[in-house]
Amino acid sequence: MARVTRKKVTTKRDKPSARSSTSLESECERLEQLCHALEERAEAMEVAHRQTVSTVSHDLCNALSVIVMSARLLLRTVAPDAPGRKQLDAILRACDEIEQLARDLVDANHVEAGTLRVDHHPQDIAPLVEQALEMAGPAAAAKPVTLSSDVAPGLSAVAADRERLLQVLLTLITNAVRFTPRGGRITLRAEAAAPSSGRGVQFSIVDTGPGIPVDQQDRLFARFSQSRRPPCQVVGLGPYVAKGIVEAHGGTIWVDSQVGVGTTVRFTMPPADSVQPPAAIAAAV
Amino acid sequence: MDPTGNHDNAPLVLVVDDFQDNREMFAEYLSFSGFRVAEAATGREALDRAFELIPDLILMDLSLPEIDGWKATRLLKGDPRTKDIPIVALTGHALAGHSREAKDAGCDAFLTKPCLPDTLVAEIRRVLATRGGTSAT
Repeated sequence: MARVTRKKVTTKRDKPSARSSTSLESECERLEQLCHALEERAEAMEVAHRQTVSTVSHDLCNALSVIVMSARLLLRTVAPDAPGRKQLDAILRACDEIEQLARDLVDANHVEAGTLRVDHHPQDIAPLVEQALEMAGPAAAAKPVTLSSDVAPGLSAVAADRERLLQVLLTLITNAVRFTPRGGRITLRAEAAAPSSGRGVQFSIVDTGPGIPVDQQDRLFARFSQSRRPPCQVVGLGPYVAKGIVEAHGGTIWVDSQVGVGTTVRFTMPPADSVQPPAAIAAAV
Repeated sequence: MDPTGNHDNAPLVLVVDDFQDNREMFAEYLSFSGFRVAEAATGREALDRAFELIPDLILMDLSLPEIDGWKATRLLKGDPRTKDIPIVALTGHALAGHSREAKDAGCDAFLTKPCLPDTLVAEIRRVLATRGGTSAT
């Protein structure tokens, strides 16, 4: 696309400097048409790019399906201390990473395009927190780090897409596990949001990891940056997607961190009574 | 001998997937789990096999050649011979939009790949039980 642009602009520059008003109008019209054509081409390329990412993600998951299914079946025949078991476990962990990356790529595309859709249904907090801890438990135990929860009593429900909210919690807890040294602590806290953050619930994921320098904190949720990346760690799109999901709910997400002390990622979810009545939802769909 | 090559009266599951290794893996594991299994590699083949065998459940990939899984599901749910057969969508597409589209097409449940073997069997048993069918043990 860039080559086409340069070629056309060069043609323009070659035109004589003294022009009649008619030729100027004609030139303007030609440039407008060129801009329009380039915009259309850029849009088409963006759609094609999204489609490619979606197709690659789909095909990756298809191939992963065979690997995961095969490894899981093999796992049943290989005792925990038998030769090959360690390698099988490593294959499955790598599959989980690839699967998550494939899904994050598609989600990140939708976040970027503003097409990420979430449901807004009333969700009670305690069962959500319990499920998030259950899902993140194996990763925390494998490290090992201590994973616990602290839910304020009497919290009202939030308006959220259950699966997407769980995805945010799991992403942030997994990220905390990744960066917290063995023996560290991670706490998932839920409390009433401060009045300045609107009504609703504030979730916090508190870790005792190395912390993030102040000048790198705003990069945590950037698409192509992993400010907390230690050597040899995979770069994830998870925090970027998590931010997109939180904002699609109408919430906000931010980080407080102190080097040598730890990191707390906080986000808010709107209250359940902000859910539109069913008739309004049906009309919107 | 029945058309699937099995002899018992366990529920018959039609596995539809164009990715041969996936299809064979699912078929093998479902067979190991006590189901009778038939296979189809395209949407067209899925329709032919479904009308021929009237399976107890169809495990349907969505991205299929000839006729895709969404259209095949609509055709099966629109035909009196097959409209009551539960269809479980199994796809590498994970977005909520795909899940909604699959349910709009008539799918009774939705699973994403990669799917754990036990999750697959548990979901098939759950859907069969919901429909009041027998379940392989």
